[in-house]
Amino acid sequence: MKFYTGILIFFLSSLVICQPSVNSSATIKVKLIKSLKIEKVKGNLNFGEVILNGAGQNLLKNPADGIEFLILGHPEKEAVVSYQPALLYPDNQNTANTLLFLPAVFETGNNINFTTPQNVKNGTAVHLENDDGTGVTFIWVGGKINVKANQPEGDYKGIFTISVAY
Amino acid sequence: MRKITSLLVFICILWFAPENVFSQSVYAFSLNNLNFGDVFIGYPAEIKHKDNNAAKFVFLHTQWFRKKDFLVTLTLPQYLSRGNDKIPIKFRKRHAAWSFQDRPYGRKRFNPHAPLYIKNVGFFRPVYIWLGGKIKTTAGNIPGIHNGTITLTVEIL
Repeated sequence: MKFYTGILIFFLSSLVICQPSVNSSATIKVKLIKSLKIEKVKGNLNFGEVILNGAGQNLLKNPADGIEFLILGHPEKEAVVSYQPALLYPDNQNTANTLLFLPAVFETGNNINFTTPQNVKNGTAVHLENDDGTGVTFIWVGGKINVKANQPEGDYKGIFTISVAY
Repeated sequence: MRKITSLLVFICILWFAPENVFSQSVYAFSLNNLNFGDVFIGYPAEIKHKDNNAAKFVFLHTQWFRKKDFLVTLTLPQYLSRGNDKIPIKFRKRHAAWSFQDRPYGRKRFNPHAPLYIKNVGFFRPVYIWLGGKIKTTAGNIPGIHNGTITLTVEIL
């Protein structure tokens, strides 16, 4: 009798744990990030007129007096800054008489003024500080040009490229 | 003799009891979430079913020595949300697949918006489901994490 009672209990318990269907859930997730942008705020890398005096000269451009860039992107993310020295060519495009521009790059975080600048070496990351939902960092570019003693006169121009990437 | 008879009766009940009365244990688990990762605002993103970031489910039944038929349905969101901000999400046939084996080849694709019938599944035989999707963000979307939920429902027929 006990045995049949056991079977009955087992049978009824099956009714309780009857499980004809089941659910399972998975989450879908995406993190939207703002794309990077770098734009010029002000300034230039014009070294002006230089008097050739027959001796070598180092022309310096303080970053505060150079070009100020603004990097815009996702707040609190890092952006890698890349740049290379630039060659300046004379008007006649004579490649034997080029000048080399050696950039000096600094960042001031979200400060639009050149205060407490931090050096930014090529290939290093800067932090995009949160400014009302947008990541910002100001970049300042100056540098130097070495003029040789026998440098021909003329106008020298070149292109300096700076790029940013996440 | 009486005990042997009782045991035989018990086995008969186990074997022949109606399936909708006897315990029909089916188990389903989520093994992976559908993760689009970092996406630039204004750009689309797509995850196919073979992508490691596709959602992955597994289910099985534990009815000894039985082969069962299953009806699988997916409840899919139309949008991923972050507050009031929404990103449309689409699920196509190329995004959904199932297989008895957990491997990238030999999967059968299916329409994730339609019920999927899988027949003759042996006990404790796992059935895997993969699901990707496609989103298209717009310039008006706000940055941050947007979420949605996929619900898998498995019924024994």
